[in-house]
Amino acid sequence: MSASTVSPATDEPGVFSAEAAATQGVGSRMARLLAAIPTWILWLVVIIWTVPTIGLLVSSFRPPSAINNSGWWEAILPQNWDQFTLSNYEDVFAASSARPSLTTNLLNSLAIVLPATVIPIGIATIAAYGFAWMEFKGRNWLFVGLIAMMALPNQMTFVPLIQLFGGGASWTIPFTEQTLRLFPDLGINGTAASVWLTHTSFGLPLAIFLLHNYISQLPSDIFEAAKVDGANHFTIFTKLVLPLSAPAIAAFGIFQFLWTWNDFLIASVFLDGDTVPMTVALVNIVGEQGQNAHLRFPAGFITIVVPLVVFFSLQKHFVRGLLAGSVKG
Amino acid sequence: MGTLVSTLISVVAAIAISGVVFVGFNALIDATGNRWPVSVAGLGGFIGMIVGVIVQHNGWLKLGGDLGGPLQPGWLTILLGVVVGAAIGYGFGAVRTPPLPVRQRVENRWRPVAFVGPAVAFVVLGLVLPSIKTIIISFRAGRRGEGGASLDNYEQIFADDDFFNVTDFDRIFTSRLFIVALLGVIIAVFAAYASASQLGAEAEARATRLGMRAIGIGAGLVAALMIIGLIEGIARTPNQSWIYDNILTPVVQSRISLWILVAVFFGGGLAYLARSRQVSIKAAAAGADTSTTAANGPTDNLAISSSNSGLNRSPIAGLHPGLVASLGAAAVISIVLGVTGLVTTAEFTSLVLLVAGLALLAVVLVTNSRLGNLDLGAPTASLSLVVAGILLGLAVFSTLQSVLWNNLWWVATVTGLSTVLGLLLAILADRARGEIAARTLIFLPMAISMVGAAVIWDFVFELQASGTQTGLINAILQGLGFKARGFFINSTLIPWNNFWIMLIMIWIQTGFAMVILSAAIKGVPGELVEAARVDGANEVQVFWRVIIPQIRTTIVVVVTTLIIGVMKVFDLVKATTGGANRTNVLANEMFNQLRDSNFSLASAFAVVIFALVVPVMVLNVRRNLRELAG
Repeated sequence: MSASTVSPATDEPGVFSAEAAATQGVGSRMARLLAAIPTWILWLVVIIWTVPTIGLLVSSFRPPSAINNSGWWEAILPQNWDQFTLSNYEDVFAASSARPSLTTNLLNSLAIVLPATVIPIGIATIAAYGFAWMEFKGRNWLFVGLIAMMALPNQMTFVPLIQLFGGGASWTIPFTEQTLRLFPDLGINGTAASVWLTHTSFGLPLAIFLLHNYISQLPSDIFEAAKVDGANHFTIFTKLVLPLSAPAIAAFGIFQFLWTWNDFLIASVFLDGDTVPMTVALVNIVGEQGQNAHLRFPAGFITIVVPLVVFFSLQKHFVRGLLAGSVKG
Repeated sequence: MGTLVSTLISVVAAIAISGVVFVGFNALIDATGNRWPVSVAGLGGFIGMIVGVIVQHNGWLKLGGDLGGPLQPGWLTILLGVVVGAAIGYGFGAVRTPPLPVRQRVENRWRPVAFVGPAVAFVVLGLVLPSIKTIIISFRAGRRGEGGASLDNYEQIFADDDFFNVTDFDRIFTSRLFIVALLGVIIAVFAAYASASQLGAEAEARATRLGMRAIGIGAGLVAALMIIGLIEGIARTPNQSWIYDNILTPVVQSRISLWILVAVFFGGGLAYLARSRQVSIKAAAAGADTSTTAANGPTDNLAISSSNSGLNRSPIAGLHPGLVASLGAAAVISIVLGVTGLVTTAEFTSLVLLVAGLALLAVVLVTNSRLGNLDLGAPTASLSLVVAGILLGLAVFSTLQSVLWNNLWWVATVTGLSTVLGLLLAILADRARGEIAARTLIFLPMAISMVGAAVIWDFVFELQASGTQTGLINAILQGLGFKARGFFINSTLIPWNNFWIMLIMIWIQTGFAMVILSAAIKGVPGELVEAARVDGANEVQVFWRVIIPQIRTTIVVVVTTLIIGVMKVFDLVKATTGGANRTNVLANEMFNQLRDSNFSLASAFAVVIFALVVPVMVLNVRRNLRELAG
C-alpha cells in the first residue's frame, strides 16, 4: 500500500496519516511504515487466528512424551524434526477395549452426512421452484412460515422425535378403548437413519430459502418461452431449473455437509456406542484423558480435516451461499 | 463398512421411490388435460392406500402373508385398498368429464401440492408438530410428561438460583464494573453537553491542555505497569520476585483486565483527540472554515451535528475540549480506584450515583434546556454510552452467574464482539495486500466443528500441573513472569472463565461476520463515498455517516443470525468444562435432563431457549415478508 493511497476506511485506527507525518518532517519511509499499520494489524489477527489450529496439527505428529514435556512450537526447530511420527494416528485407528477403531466412526459420519445432504437438496429444490414460479393461495405465508423455522432451536424437537423414532405415534380415541396408530414404529432410535431424518428436517428451511433466492432470480423470459413451446411445470423444472440452479445446489450442499459433519448435539442425542460419528468419538477420546490424552490430537485433526478440504476446494460456492442466505438483493 | 453400505442402499432406494412418486404424481396432474378418468383413478388409488394402511396397521383386516423385509404382513390389504380406490376413482371419472376450466383449476391447485407438499410435510412432521408437543410436555407434571397440566418444570427452573439468579441483584450496584459504567455515563453526558454548547477559544485551549495532560498521565500509568511487568518477567526467576510480591500481587493482577478495559476506553478518546488536532492544524493551514462541512451530499446522514449548532469548533462533531478534560480526569480516577479497590463499597456507589445525578442536573441547568437538546449522537458521547453499556452488562452477568444469565451473557458477548471484530477486519482487509488470503484464513474456523475448536483451544489454554507449560497461553504467561493458571476449569476465575470459552465462539463466528459485512461494504456505491469526501468529510465521518448507515440492514442480519446461533450454544461448553465451575448454559442443562430421561424438564429448558429466540424469529419473519412484498 503506497503512502498516497491510504484507502478510505483502512486508516481509521491510524492516527498517523502519511500526509501528516510527511509535513512534520519525518522521512517518507517512516510514513509508509505507519500507513501500513492497518495491514500489519490484519496479518497479526490472521496469525492469532491460525496458530491454534497449527498447534493441533503439529502436536498430532509428535510422540506422547514430547507432547507432555515441551511446547509444540519447539517441534518446528530443525533439530527436532526427527521426532515426527505417525504413531498417534496408528493408535487412534487401532481398536481398543474402550472404543472401536476410528474407521468405524468415520464411516458412521459418512452414513449420516451423505443422505442428510442429498435428501434435503432434492426436496428443497422442487419446493423452491414451487414457491418461486407457481401461483397459489397463501404462498407467501407458507414460505415465510417455512423459513422462519430456520431459527427454531434443535432442542425443541428432541423429546418428541425420540418418542416418535422409538415407538411411533398413536392416538387413543376418546371414550373408546381403540388406539389409532398415526405413525408407524420405525424402530430407528440409535441408528443413522434417525439422525439424518432429523438433519433433513432442520436443513430444509435453509435449503428452501437459499434455493428460492436463486431460482426466483432466474430470468422469467426462459420460462415464458418454454411455456409457449408447450412445456408444463414438470418439464420446465427438470429441463431448465435443475441444470440452471447447480451453483445454488452446490452452495447449500456444502453448508449441509459441513453442518451435519460438524454436528455433535443431534448425534449425541440419538446415537450411542459404536454408531457415533467422528465428533462424538472425539469428545469421548478427550474425556478418556490419562494415558490416551495424546490421542485427541490425531482424532481432532481427522475430524476437522474433512470439512477443511471441502471448504478449501469449494470456498467460492460456500461464500456465495453465505451471502445469498444473508444479504439478499 | 456394513452400516455405510446398507444405509446407502436404503437411501438410494428411498430416493428412487420418492422420485417415482413425484414423477407419477406429476403425470396424473398432466392427465387432467386430456385423460381425466386416469387422474381421478390416481386420486382414488391414493385414498385407497391410506385407508388400506390404516386398516392394516390397526389390524382390522388381515390379508396376505409375511414377505419379510420392509413389506410388513398384511401388505395385501394395502394393495387391495389401492386397487379398489383406483377402480372407484376411474369409474367416477369416466361417468362425467368436467369442462376445461374446471380441469385447469384442478391442475393449478394440485401442481403446487406436488412441488411444495413434500417439503411442507417434512417440516410439519419433523419440526412444527414436535415443537408443539415439546411445549405441551413442558407444561405437564411427571418426568415423562405423563401427569396432568402443571407449571412444575418452570417453577423448578425459575425458583432455583443455579438456573435463574435474582437474589444477588443488589450486588450489581457495588461491583467495580458498575462504577466504571457510571463514569462512562457521566462522560457521555458531558460529551453531549460539550457538543451542544459553545465555549470561548481560550477556555477551549486551556481545557485541551488539561485533558491532554490527564490522559497522558492515565496512559502513562498503564504503560509503566505493563513495562515493569515485562522487564520483571524476563529478568526474574519464577515465583521469587519483589515486584510480584509487592506490586503485581495477585490482587493487582486480577484487576489488570479492568485496566485494559479502561485503557481501551480512553485510548479511543486519545485517538479522536489526536485526529481532531491534526485535522484542525491542516484546516488552519489551508485557511478553510472546516466547520461548514455539512452535507449537500446524497445522504441526510451526512448532516454533521456541528452544522446544526453553527459553531466554529473542532471539525469532529462532539469532540470537545471540555469533554477531553473530563475523559482524562475519569481515566486517572478509575485507575486509582481500580488499584485501591475502594469502589466496592456501597457508600462509594451512592456517592458516584449522587455525583452522576448532580452532573446531569447541572448540565441540564447550564444548557437551560431539556435533555433532548443534548447531542447524545455525537461520536464521543455515543462511544462512551456504548462502553458504559458493555460494562453495565458485564456487571450484571458476572454478578448474577446462573444458567439463564450465562446464556444471555454468551449472546451479548459473542454477538457483539464477533460483529464489531468482523466489521473492523472487513475494513482492514478492504483492498489490503493479500486480502483474499487473509480473509480465507480468518474465515477458516467456520468450517471447523465446535468440538474440534474446543479441542484446539483447550490445548492453547492447557495447564500443566508442574514443569514446562505446553499450552501456548500459559507458556507466554510463564515467560512474562505471571503464574500459569487454568482458564476453563478454574474456581478462582469464576465467573470470568466463561469469557474464555466465549472466545472460542468468537474465533469461529468473526469470519462469518467479516465475510458478510465485507461484501456489504464493497456494495456501498463509490459515488456516495466520493461525494462525502468532496464535501469535506474525513475518513472517520465517511465511516460513521456513510458506510455504517448503508450497511445497516446487513449488520442487523449478521446480529440476528449470531443471536440464533449463540442462544443454543452447547458443544463448546460440553467439550470444555461440561458445565462445571458455573459455566453451564441452557442447552447443556437441557441435554443433561434428556440423558437423565427427565423429558418434561428437558422440554421446559428447550421452551425457554425457544422463547428467547422468538423475538429474533418474529424480526426475521417481518423482514422476509417485507422483502417478498418489495
